[in-house]
Amino acid sequence: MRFIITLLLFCVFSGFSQEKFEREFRISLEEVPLKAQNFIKQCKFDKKVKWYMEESQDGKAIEAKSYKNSYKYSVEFDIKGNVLDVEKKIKWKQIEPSIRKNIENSLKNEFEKFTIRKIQVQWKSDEQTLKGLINGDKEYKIDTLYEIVLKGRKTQSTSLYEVLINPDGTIVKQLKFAPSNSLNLEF
Amino acid sequence: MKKGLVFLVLVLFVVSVNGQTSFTSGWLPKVVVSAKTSSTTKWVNSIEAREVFYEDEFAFSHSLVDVSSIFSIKSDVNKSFNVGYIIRFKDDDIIHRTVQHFNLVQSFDALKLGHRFGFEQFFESGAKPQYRTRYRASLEKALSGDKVDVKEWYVKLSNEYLWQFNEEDLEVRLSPYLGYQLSKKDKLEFGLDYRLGKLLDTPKKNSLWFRTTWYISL
Repeated sequence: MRFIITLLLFCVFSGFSQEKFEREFRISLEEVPLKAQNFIKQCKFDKKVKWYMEESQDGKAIEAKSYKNSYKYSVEFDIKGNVLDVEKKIKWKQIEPSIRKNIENSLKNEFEKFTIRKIQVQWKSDEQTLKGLINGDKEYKIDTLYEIVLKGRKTQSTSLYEVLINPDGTIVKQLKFAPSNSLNLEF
Repeated sequence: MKKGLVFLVLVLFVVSVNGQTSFTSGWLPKVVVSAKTSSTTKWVNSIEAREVFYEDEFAFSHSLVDVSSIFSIKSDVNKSFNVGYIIRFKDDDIIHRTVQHFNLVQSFDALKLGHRFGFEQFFESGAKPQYRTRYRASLEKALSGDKVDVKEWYVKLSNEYLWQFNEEDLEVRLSPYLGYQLSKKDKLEFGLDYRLGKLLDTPKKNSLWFRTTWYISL
């Protein structure tokens, strides 16, 4: 019994702050399920939509990337074409001051020092709501999660992290980036 | 952008060749092996040869071999200081070189931009020490997705400026490469390395090399 509890605790903690693994490659429109294609058509993006297959620690997914009103969007689907979530790249100052404060306090507790590199809002909801949010329809309002890429210092070691955090500052998920190999840019 | 770049390379090439008295071409094979020595340090060794195919006329010759050993200290997620030693075997001569480089690699959504600032000192018996400084910017772009994954191709474009203090000579290098990530631990690059030397002087010195580099991380 003790062994099972220890094993469970190990799995929970290692899952909370594991290393980020992600492989992404371009796919053609023909490889995208019709359901996903139809969803994207109704979003009326301003620029060409690029399609990717993404393999990560969470499994396989299809991702569409494009722009609308100068914001970069990523829409993630499962391999059957069901929409999973929508991410929109924003700037730190575009976050409501009270939420900014919560996020800042939470990150200060988690890291000795940090610098934010990229912020995306993440929406998870039904198809209709996500379409409405992308199209700027004000009648749709849902809880937003913030996906933040930051350079953080913990126990004397600095790394890149991806932190998923909710508006009250609770960290939902934290992934450490594997160090990127730039040997060919240095030597 | 690609068309513009090809045009720029051609213009640079034609302009320099027209006013030239020296043109050299050949192959630069190189192997770079990096071994991690701690979480913030690595030891990087390389060997590079220079095989000349053309030197004002077609002539095949083995020109030189450079062997280097560099110790790299990571000062931040994307910054490192490198100090090392390079020995050059050229005909019967041996040239010793000490190097100090600072690297900064910036990552953007779908691009990586590397900056290298360097100081180098050359020592050869019977000659005065020579001093050189250099700056190189390298841009890397994955050809599939936002970052380079295993079994994927990428392009790399480098532009470097070298200033030789003793001879007051400026050299510019422009290098487009095609790269392939063979595995998590190694990648292969091949492309052209165009060098225009004695830029503030006449006659100018220019060379065009076909370069192949195999990067291995142990």
